[in-house]
Amino acid sequence: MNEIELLREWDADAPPLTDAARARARFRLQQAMQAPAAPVAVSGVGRRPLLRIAVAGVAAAAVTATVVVTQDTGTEPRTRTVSATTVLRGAAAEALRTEKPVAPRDDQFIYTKEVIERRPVGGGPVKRYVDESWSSVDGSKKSYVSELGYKQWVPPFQKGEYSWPPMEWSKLEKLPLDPARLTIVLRESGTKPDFSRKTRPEEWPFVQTYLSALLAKSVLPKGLRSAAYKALAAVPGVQVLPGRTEFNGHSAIGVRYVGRPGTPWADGRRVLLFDAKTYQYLGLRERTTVKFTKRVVEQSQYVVASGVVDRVFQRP
Amino acid sequence: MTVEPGVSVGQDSDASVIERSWDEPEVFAVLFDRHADSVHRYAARRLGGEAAEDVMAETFTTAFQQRFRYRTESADARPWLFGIATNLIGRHRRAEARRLKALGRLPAPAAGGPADETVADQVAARVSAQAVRGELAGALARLPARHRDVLLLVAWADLGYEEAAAALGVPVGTVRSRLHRARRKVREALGGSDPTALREESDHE
Repeated sequence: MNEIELLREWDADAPPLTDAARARARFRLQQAMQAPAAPVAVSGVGRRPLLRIAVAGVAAAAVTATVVVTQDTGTEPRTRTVSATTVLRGAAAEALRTEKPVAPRDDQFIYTKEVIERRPVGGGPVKRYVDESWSSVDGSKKSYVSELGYKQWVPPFQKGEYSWPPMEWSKLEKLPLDPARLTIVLRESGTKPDFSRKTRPEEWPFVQTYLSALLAKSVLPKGLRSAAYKALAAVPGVQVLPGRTEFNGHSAIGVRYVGRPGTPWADGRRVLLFDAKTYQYLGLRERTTVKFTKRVVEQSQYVVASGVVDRVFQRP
Repeated sequence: MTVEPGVSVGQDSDASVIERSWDEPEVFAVLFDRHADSVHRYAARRLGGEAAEDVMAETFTTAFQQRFRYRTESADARPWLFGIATNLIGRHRRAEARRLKALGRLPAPAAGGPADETVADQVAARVSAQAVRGELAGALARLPARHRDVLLLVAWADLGYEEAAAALGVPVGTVRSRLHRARRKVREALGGSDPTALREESDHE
């Protein structure tokens, strides 16, 4: 007698999944996936708008393949090929030089004003969104987030909820400023990091995503942005795009991450742009499909203002 | 909504799909299409149809929200999904207990089972499982929840020991010991019901 086998054979009067039930469940998942554009009350577990991720994440829009092709203006100095390491280390130095130390209190908010421009690839008018967001410093208060013009309140963290990389300033402050250690802490996503272990090839996409997520934050503890650029420079697969491109009035160099073949990052479709002279970070560009349509746009996004404020709707 | 044409995720591992969904949330639907049936079946066996639909739907929305926490070295997302489902089922302990009690009271089916069953069906072990379903339900009802979780993750979710440990976030040794105890109790319950019949069944296999 094998009681496991017996249990396996017993269907316990379980009804099969009907097409209607499957469709209802899939619909609920779709609602969760579309949360930024169409919040719908879903019973049960505290549903967190995707914007929480978007605030911490690199870009909210869904993206599809195709690499941005840069235009070689050939007019700037440093037209010779530079390495991704040079650009990212330059960006690290520039971040360290220009950033002001901030010490937001837990009851304050991080303000971010971001512009997103969508240029239809097939031609047509450019759509421009100006998004202003206020994000609770310790995650304990409601945040107000705008994304592609869609605005909503994001509820505070519930017990047991957290984001990684962390949203809370106190946790960001604890991240190491040493690039190699930062990589390892991000790799281990909140568990006890093993600093002696080398990063495995399959972990690099993970590290890269988290580093990009950190860099997408408009305000970081002093030194962390610089450390993140340096850490990104050490990620295998980070490379510079040939030539220059115009970005928001600057001559820019593009840097992208290309994952191993067969991974979702193999096409290196997202490009970070840096000023060709100073290597200051400018923003990012990617070719993306407008959600739930087939319209392909070239999307540029860049932060135009940021700071620490006392309350939502206050500007620095 | 379906994944956009041209996005080839069909061959990808679950981990790869989840990674991709970090950038492209709608890709997560692939995971639903792969595992909705098995998660539903597991939940339906534990809680019945109505609650199972809810648990299954919540499993995927919860998983979606937690997708950034997925450890992508695990290619197969089933332990993760069944772990979430098991947690959600944990909120229905009373409903599960009521259901097991009800199943335990059901009369044993008439010998031979439903009329449309073939002779071959009748000799299959499935018949014996049906025959002792009252005992099985009673034994499951009496198990501590954490033992029941392990036993049913192995028996109904088809997880291995390591996978069950990952699902529950406990060491594999804990899984082994809980499973051992749970099996012993179920065996005792069955042995007490009709040991001879069962021994004969197993002799025939």
